Amino acid sequence: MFRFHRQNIRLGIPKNGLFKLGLLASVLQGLSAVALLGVSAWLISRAAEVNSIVYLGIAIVGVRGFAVGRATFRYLERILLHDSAFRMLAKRRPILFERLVAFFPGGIAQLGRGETLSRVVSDVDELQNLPLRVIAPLLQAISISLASIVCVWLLLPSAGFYLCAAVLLGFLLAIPLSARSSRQSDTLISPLKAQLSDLSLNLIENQDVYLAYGWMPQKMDELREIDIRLRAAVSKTNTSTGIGLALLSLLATLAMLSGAWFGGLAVETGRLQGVWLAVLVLLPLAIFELIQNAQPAVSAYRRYSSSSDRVRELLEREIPDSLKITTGALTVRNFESIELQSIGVRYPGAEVDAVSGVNLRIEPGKKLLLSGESGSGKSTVALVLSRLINAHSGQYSINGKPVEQFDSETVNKLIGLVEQNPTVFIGDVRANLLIAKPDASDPELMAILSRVGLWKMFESREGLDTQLGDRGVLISGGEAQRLALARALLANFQVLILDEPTANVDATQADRLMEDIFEILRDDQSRAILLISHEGKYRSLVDLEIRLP
Amino acid sequence: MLGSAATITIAWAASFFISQVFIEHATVKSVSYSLGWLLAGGAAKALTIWLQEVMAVRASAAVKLELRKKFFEAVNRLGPGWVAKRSVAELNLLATVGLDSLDSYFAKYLPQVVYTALVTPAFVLIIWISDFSSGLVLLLTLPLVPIFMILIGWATRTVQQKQLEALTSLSRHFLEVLRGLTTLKIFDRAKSQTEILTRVSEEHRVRTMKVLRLTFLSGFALELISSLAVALIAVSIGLRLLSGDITLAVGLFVLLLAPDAFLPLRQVGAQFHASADGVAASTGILDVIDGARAKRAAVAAPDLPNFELGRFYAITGPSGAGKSTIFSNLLGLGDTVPVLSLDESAWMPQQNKLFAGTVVENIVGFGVPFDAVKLDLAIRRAALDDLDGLALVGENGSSVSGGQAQRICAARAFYRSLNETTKFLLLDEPISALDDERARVLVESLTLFAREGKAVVAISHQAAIISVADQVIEVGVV
Repeated sequence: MFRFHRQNIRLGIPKNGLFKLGLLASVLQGLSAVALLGVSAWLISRAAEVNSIVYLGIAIVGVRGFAVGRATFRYLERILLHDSAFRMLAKRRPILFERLVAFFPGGIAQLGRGETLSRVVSDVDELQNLPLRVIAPLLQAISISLASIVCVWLLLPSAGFYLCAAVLLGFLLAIPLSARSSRQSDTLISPLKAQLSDLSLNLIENQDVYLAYGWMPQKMDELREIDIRLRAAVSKTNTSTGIGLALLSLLATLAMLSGAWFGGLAVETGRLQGVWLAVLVLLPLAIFELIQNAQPAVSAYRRYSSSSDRVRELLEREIPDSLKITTGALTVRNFESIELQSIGVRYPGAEVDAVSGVNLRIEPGKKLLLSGESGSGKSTVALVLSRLINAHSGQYSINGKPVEQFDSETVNKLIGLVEQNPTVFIGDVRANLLIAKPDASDPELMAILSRVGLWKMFESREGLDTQLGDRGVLISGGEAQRLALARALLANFQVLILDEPTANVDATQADRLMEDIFEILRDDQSRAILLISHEGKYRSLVDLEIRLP
Repeated sequence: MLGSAATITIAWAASFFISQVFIEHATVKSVSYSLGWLLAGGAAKALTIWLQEVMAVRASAAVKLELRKKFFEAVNRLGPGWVAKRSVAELNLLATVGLDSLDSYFAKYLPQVVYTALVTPAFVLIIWISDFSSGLVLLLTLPLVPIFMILIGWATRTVQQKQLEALTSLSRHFLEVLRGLTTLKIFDRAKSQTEILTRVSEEHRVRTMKVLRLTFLSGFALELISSLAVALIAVSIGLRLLSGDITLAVGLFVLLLAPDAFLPLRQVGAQFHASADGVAASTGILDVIDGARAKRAAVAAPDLPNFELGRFYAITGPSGAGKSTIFSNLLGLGDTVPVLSLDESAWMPQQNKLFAGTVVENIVGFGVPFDAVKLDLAIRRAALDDLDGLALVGENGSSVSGGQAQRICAARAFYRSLNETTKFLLLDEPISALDDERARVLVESLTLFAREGKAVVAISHQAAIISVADQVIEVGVV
């Protein structure tokens, strides 16, 4: 049912003193809650027995102290545990990021099926639930139960024994029931919810067709049917949660009952002072409240462990050879030639080569067209040149020397790629451009934007502060491409690779954009350009066409 | 109600038993009947807990079922024109996750409010009757709970909003960096991101902790009020027991009930925070439902002629002139009142939408009887000569080419047109993805439909259509 991987647990545990302090506060909080009831009961019983306040002094102080302690330790617990959990996350995120860097972009497909990036992000966030919702409540419930059982045992072994039995039953019966309901919710509810979400998305996306052809009622019926099945699954799951909670409550009563019965008999025979009877009867109430608080820990652990499994798997994954970018000592400022000789590339995990036997020679000022059917590996060649993936065969050389001998950073500065889908980051135009040159001044950015024909448009909006929206929704596909070109110009690459720059543009505007791009690039005669396009019609813009089979 | 009666029974039975055995020195056997009451109370309490859990969720599921249906009916009434102005993902989120967040509102918050309103006064009354001064303490401290909750709620509302934003902005930052990692690597900025990520996470922690310190303060205040009230009651009972003003049984009884008087009120506060999402979501959903109820403004359809039966019209114009909304507006699926009856029209939208199933199912509909002769004719007229009718089409047409998808959609519109009721055949860019030969067949079919007495209207910028139309309507030309 559970996989208690030690590394899995280690992943979510904050390794700082705050966490230990937080756990201590949590235990003290539980102690205060139980002691408040216990001491109050003792105080009242004792008061009924004696006739002077002298006998009650300590208990009165205790009651007040535990009352303040219960609230104070709760506050401290929450602050300390959250702080330590956030510190832990702030350490994990960069570590995971560093591991993932090597896998982009050649190994993303390998991240696994359905493993979206947003999933990775939420998996990391989920790690905080181990300290907050699993360890702290469980530790509190277990340690306070143990302490109380020991105290009761010392007072009256038989009452201690039965309290111990009730607590054990609570942990062994009621908490697994909660685990059962969370498992049911995984197997019954989640798939139905996924179905419902799929269908609802389908309904909204294809609404026009469904309405136009009268298919909507049928789809609405399908939706309702899933909804009804979901309702049945939810109430089934909740029945076991409810039984778990009810069982805990019943066990609390039974523990009270056994305390009363054995305590009463002991008082009768004089083995126990009467003043302790109330403590024996009432203590279980407070203990079981803590156990009930710990009940959701099991389902929280389930969620945590599936997230931490995935995170750990990403952290431990070997970087395939094709993605290990070797770097040398040579630096390169200017180049005379960049050459690929019978290059073969295979993506990690793939059965066949993405490209093989590719020959290519880039010289300063030369404009090349790399063409071929979709799937012929044009973009892969771009990745090899940009040093984002290694070729497993053939030779990649700069100025006649193998590329591995060069410092990969200087190669990155020499050769730049404008991707087919360039990333537009959330934020303003300025932030998107500064990625290429962090120290660029505003006038420099404006000049670049004018060059690519975007400045007029941004000027009419909010200039460099214009927000581009999530994934660049606030600008068009053509504008995004021009922005990416501006970014590449700013970085001043001597070799510029343009991967299908018109892929996201209407067919009617594609030709104009392409001509514009070449017009913009005309000014620098020394820059080499490698245009990647599946359409041969742009060959008039270049010096040479290389066609991939 | 049964639950609180059970709690009171348990408290009374336990206090009675303790005081009898301890003070009156009664034998356990002689008062064992009170333990019977204790057990009965415990059983009743367990039963109510179980019932509450089951009923609450059932009620909330029923509400969700109804709301989801109403939501989609509203979305359908508002139509594709309205959907197009919104994000599909956002609407889907409302219909699924948004509705789910109503659970905490319907299953937890509402029952808790009702329960508190019923139970708290009853508890106070019982304690008041049993012990006047404890009742007074309760009466003085209880109102502090809602007052503090409201005060602190006000003070932290804006901060909490900020926290929520900060939280999403951190996750979003991480997601952005991962999404754009290739771009960052190209510009040699990937390494510096590790540092930035550390810094952003740390800044986020500092900011969030500042907020949490304040937020948790509300919990602290409430917890302090209730536990101090219990302490106050315990000490005052103790002192009055000394002087013999009250009996032990009453004292213990009040001590046991006092926390239970606070519990429901505090839970209302906790559930209120938990259900805040649900309230926000329900506002979004109810807005949509109400929006559909409001009568749609009767904006006239664009300036188009009355389409006469038996004629072939072509609509053309520059891109961005709003050609695509013409048909949905005509059919009353946009913001306007319908000009053409949906039942009398066959519409092929510009986006070729296909569904997982066979080619035939994509044309005639799923799980419905169909007319094989008409189907055959529709397929022929749509030049769908390169696909078997039983070939499987993936979701979103993943296994067919763009041209095939377009022809399947054309066949769908044609099949619907092959009867007496359909008078209007509306097509949006029907041949944009077709090769010349198949485009010719399709255009021929369109003229054929017109000759058979349908009004055929095609939006297109292609000469193959414009040249054969009986009338060309230019839109968006200044």
